[in-house]
Amino acid sequence: MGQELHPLKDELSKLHTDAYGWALSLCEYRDQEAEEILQMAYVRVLEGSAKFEQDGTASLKTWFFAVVRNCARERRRGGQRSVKLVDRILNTQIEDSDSSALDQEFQAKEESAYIMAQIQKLPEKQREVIELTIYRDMTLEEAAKIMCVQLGTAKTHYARAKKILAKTIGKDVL
Amino acid sequence: MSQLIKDAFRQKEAQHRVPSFEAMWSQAEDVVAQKAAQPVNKRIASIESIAWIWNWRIMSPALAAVILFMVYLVGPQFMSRQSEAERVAQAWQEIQTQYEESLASETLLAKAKANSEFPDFQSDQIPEKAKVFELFRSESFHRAWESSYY
Repeated sequence: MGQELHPLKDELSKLHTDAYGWALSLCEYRDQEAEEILQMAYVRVLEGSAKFEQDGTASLKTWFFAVVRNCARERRRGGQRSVKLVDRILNTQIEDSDSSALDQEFQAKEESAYIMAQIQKLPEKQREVIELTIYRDMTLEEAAKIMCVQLGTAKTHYARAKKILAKTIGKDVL
Repeated sequence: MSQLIKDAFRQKEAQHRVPSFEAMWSQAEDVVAQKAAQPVNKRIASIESIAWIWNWRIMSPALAAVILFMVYLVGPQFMSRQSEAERVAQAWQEIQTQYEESLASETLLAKAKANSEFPDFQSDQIPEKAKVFELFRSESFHRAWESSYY
């Protein structure tokens, strides 16, 4: 099986950098974890448990991003709770210090880093919809497919994220 | 503003090195090859273990031992229960007979006492009836009667 050329290999190689970025974002930018998630996704493609249907309902990118997201969620369910808990505690401490000195932080850090910090503070689905639509240039419909939610739900997440970012960043976002 | 968000993501991602696609893909192929080989071995192992469990030479003495143990445990109880039932049925049969006989005897005695139909009647002339009365008065009869009644 390993000797045959998989029909999706070339196209997936073009998506690799983007998919890795997506995997990074799904695991809060932990390299090791992102690699494992992407590896898991490739294994699923190769063994056929994730099949791309060329029926026009989703592009290869949308489909593969959904596979990566599922792998990330599955991985998280399978024993990363302790890590998440430690992260949450650490993040809470950072957030606490951040909120006490918000202006100071804004001046000290670069604008993009500050924006990124605000995006990362968003709830998971809001962060995902912002990343997929703004950064990955996808439509809301495609984002909804990747996130396995209804279009209306994706729109709600998008609107809420926009509202929060406008408030925290203090500019008219998007 | 959306450009700022894009820049923020780009900058964040730039801090991380993207691993080689070829390396990851070939690793994934190895994993799939290993997985493909594993289930067959597992399947064979499971079939072998089942075959071992159902091995006649191992199972027959074990089954025989289990059956004997069950007979040893349950058998005496079953037997005693059966004899108990038989004993009760027998006692009940006895009581029925004795009761019928005693009724008949009482009638005879009453008639004898009245001395109307049997003018020459003497109680010692009917030893069989006397035996019945003895039995009726006996303790064993009453015990049997009570046990059957309850």
